[in-house]
Amino acid sequence: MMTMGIDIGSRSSKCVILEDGKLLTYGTIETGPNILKTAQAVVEAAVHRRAGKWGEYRMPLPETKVDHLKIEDMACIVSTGYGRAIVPFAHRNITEITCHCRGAQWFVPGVTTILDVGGQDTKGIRVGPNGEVADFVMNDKCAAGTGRFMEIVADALHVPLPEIGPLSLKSTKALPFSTTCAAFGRGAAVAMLKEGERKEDILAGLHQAIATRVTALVKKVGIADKFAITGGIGRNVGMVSRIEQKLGGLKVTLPQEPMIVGALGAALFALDRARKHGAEQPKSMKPVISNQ
Amino acid sequence: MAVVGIDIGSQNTKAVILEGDEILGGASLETGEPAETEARMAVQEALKQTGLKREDLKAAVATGPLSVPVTKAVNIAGLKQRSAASCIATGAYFRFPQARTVLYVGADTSMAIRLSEDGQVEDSVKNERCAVSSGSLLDIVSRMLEIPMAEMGAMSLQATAPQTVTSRCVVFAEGEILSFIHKDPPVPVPDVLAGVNQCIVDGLWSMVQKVGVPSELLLCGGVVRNAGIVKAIEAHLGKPALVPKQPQYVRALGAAVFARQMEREGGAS
Repeated sequence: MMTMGIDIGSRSSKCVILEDGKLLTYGTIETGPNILKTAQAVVEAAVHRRAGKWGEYRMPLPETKVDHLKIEDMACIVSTGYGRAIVPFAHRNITEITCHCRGAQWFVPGVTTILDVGGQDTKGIRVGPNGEVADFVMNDKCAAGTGRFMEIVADALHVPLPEIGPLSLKSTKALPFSTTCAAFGRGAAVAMLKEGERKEDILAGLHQAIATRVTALVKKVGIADKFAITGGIGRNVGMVSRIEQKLGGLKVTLPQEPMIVGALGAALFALDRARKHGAEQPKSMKPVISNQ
Repeated sequence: MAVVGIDIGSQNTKAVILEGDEILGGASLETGEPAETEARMAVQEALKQTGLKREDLKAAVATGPLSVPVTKAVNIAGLKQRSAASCIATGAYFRFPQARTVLYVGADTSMAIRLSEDGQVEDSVKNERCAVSSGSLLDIVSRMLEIPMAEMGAMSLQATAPQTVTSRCVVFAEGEILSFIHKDPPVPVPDVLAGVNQCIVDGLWSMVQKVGVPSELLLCGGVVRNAGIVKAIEAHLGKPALVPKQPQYVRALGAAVFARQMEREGGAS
């Protein structure tokens, strides 16, 4: 029985397909302005095994041929992420907090605290004794301390996103970087370049600033011993090592593929539902007009 | 005696040459060069309009967030730095002594200043933590919609039903605006632009209210060249605001006025 999880994030979208709870394939793409097209495209990316601009596949995938799979082949589809309510072919949508909590436990059994830094939001989640969400915090007012902040600065410095983390670790002096507004990030980075500063030192300051901000956020839910980082930030070695420093050397457990944690959680919820209620009827591909 | 004021902004570098009460020349450059190079180029550009040579400049004052490294580059013996707030106040008072409140809106920074009757800074507030009340949202929208910055103001005035932007963060607003354009049917561009102006001005107006408007309000900074922004501010104010013809030069002009003062004092001693 195949189930699908789709995570339509603010910056990137992910799709995971499971066969009886085992990972069959996944894909990631950039979120476009049209959610319906994005949802269709990310399914395409999964069946054709395309990982998009975020780099190579990190998870081993079975050799099974998957490029013939269709949405109708899925026993159940669950959507999550900020665009979750507008995915027309999803049978159900579940919030990203719940999906991240579920997906993180699949990757990191026994995880107690999760820091998820995505494109435009940052969440801290504490996992309860039965795997439920015991507490969570999130940035809801502004994009300071999110992936977008890093993207803006990377863009201003003309450094490809996957390279900023490794480059930041080459720094010899971290320049002070404001943690307040992501939009000031561009100006601040350009100003430092104009003063003749090196890119690695600017990036080191940026990573420090964001690490400070996100650790402060996750501390609000309380950090217990098994701590995992999910979302695009988990692919950034510069961020992970600095967050570990800020937490006094606490070892972070990284999911092998941190970006797909939410989509994987959604696919697991889809499996639960399909097992309980049997396979769902395929839903219409027409766009959902009303979003509540 | 000619003097120069240099304003190294977050986006453009401006130079204004002043002799007595007369503004001889001004230039604004956005080259992406290091600050000192850009400052030197802006001074050269401004000099071209005057027929003067660099040796004729007897004093210089630099201001703006990046004013520190220009000292050597400009190579004028008497070069000092003054704060952005005092340069805005001085530039405003030089041309519009009747204004007791000045709202400066730049690419990244904005500032509301209340002046005393003799042009001194009495109170000021700055957008330190958030870019929503500055030019940065206009910059983002200009790139997104591929509309030149210079045309956005006039276009926004064509709005019939301004589209409200609810986000109070430029990054979130960017996503919200994107969804307006991709609606079916899309929100007309002038309505989007008018909504963007409103979003920026709401933040600016709360800054103005903090310092108060005892008499006239002067608007300056490159962003107030956008007529839609001016209109939205005037809607809050309930009367016309004072707007210089070239509002982007006010801070550099203030720096030049300080340079003139420096030169006079130097000459007197």
